[in-house]
Formats: sequence, C-alpha cells, structure tokens
Amino acid sequence: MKALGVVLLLFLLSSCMVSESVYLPELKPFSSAENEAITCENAFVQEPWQFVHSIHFEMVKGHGTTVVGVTVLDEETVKVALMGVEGFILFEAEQLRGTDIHVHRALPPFDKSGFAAGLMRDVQTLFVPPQGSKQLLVEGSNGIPVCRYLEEGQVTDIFLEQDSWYKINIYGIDKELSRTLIVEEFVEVDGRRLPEVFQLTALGHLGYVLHMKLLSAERIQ
Amino acid sequence: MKVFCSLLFLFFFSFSAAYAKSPVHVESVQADFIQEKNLPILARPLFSTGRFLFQAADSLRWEYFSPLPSVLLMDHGQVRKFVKNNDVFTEEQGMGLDAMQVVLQEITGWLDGEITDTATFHAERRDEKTIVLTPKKPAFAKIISRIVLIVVDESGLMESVTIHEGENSFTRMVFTNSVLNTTIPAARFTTP
Repeated sequence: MKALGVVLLLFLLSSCMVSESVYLPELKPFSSAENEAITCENAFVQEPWQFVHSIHFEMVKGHGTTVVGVTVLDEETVKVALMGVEGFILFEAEQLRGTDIHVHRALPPFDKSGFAAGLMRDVQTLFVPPQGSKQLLVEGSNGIPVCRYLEEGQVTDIFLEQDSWYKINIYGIDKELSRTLIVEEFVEVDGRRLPEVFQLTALGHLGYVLHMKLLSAERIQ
Repeated sequence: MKVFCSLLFLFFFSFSAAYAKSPVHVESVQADFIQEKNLPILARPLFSTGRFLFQAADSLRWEYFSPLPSVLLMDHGQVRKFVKNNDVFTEEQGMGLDAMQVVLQEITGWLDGEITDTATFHAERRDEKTIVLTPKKPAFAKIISRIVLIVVDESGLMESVTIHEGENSFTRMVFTNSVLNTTIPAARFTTP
C-alpha cells in the first residue's frame, strides 16, 4: 500500500505541468423554441444504476496504475467503492445527497484528508446534474447546446449531444477552467446511451488525469 | 499492495494446505476461477473470471480475463503486473515488489513442507474440508478478518477461497478445471 501511495505522489508531482489557463467563455442563449426541446437533466441517468469502471491514473512517460471504481446511484444516495484490479477494497463510502460523506473503509493513501470529498465531487460530476441556477446556451456555429449551471460562484458547462453529455467543463470562482470531462466513446445499455470511454482532467498544481472505461452498467430495479 | 500479497498468500496457502493431507508432490498447479465480490453498497455482486498457473518453486501467472483483463507474473522471484488498456497490456508501476518477494519466500516454504502458522495468519482446520485463517495482528484484522478455504476431497484440490474483509464484505474464488503437475511453458510466466 505504501508503494501505491508513492505512485500517487509521483503521479501528483508529475501532473504539475505548466498549462495555459482557460477561462469561462461567453456563449449565446438558445432560442426559446429550442429551449423547450432540451432538458439538461436528461443528459444524466435518472433511474438507479450500478456502474463499474476501470480507472487508469496517468503518469509521465505513459506509466500509471489502474484501479476499479464502482458507483451505485439511486434517487437519494451515491455509493462509491475503489478496488484494486484483483478486487480488494481500497475505499468505500456513501453519501445521502445534501449530507456528509460516510466513509466505510479507507486504506492508505485513500484515507488522506480531502480524498473522500474529492472523489465524491468527481463522481457527482459524472452522474448527478449540478444544482443551482441554469441557463441554456449555444456554442459555436454548429449550435451545440450547453447547459450552464451556476452555484456558489462555480460554473459548470454541460455540452449535449443527442440524449447525453459529451463534455463537461467546470470553472472556479475566478472563472478559470478547473476540471474537464470528455467522452471519447459511447455505448448503449438497456436503452440508455452511456459514456463508455472518457477522460477526466483536473487542472492546477495538484492536477491529475483519469482515463476511465465503463466495464459494466446495470439498471437496479 | 500488501493486500494483494495477502491474496497471493492465501492462494498458495490454500493449495499447500490442501495438499498437506495428500502425498501428492506439487510441481505445478493450474485452474480456472470465478471470483465473486460482495459489498454492502453493491446492488449486485461483481464477478470476475480468470486462470492461474503455478510452477514450483516460485513462478506464477495469475490472470483475469474479465471484466478487466490483467496479468500478474512472478518468475524466479521477479514480479510484474500488466493491465490491458486499449487492447494492449501495459505494465503497472508502483507494485510492492519487495513485499511480494517476502510472501513468495513463505509460499515456497509451505509448498516444500508442512502447513504451520505464519507470521501473519493462524491456521485452523475446522473439519475435513474447511481451513480457517485468522490474522494474528489486530491491525491486519481490520483489512482481512478471516479467510476460509474449502477443500474438494482427498485429492487436495481446492473448491473455494473466501476472503472476509469486513461485515458483509467478502471475495469468494471458486476453482474449476484444476490440473496438477503438468508441464507449463516457461513463457507463460514471463509474457502477458
């Protein structure tokens, strides 16, 4: 486990790359007629699901380490587990929406302060529509619909394609891009179009890149 | 990674424990397995499939076919791990190789001789088919509370290994198609 901690530390250090800052763009509003046809919340799964993803932490020179992430969602709760490739539990927690995170298990280095909150934030970005006020906007000449949510100074832009999101950008209070999610491939499961291969990039001096692949998805009845 | 070492430990321990009552000399072992993962948070258990190969004294191939293809290789004490990303096996970095090698030394001892308690676990044979391993150190018991080994029959082959990580959290591996003492090409322990 100490070795994994070293890997994560190296990973974090290696991610301290200099990159050009990106700031919140101005986007045009959608016409009212188009507004009626688009529901931002539909870009996220509404029903209870269980997802299993492989999560590859990227490091310099292409090296990295892989874990398996499990997410169980229902109307009220988000449950998360991280496992080694062999299935041993490294971290397990759940959160009733709007309440504190309840950590069931956290082995080093996943017991570090702030890890649970950060993980839950990433998971909710993936699966739960943001709260706060909402604007429906359009990007570029192609008219890509974007749902822009504003909450406590943070802005979340959700780029829509068909009945799913394909990109999410999160900007901090300073309007600088702090986190981005980009879908590379989709898959249809049980009548639902789901991100299959995607990448989460957290920017900044403690940035990281997660390459994620959907291994299984099941509706829970 | 100590956790995975424990998995390796129990795997070899299971077979060595099973063979303890058998006159069979273990030169090699190979078997398929289905792994079931249960956690309180899961709506459905998770299943993995794989196959392992072992060649005395210290060569191992532990492979998962699904849902995430990966291979752990031990060859004459050298441990490497690969995970398939984008259809290509990529070597994982940061494994606890030193800890692996320590465990391997213990394993070698078990395969060579009697089953006894180790520095980590106390072993207890509950009945003809059941061996229970419990951690000696409370700190380790927080990670693995106990391990239950089920032996198939007098042949010594294992039926299952269940690792209890906590209340309602366990990993069960059920073995099938076990084969003893056949020749395994050396490349199986060096190439993913």
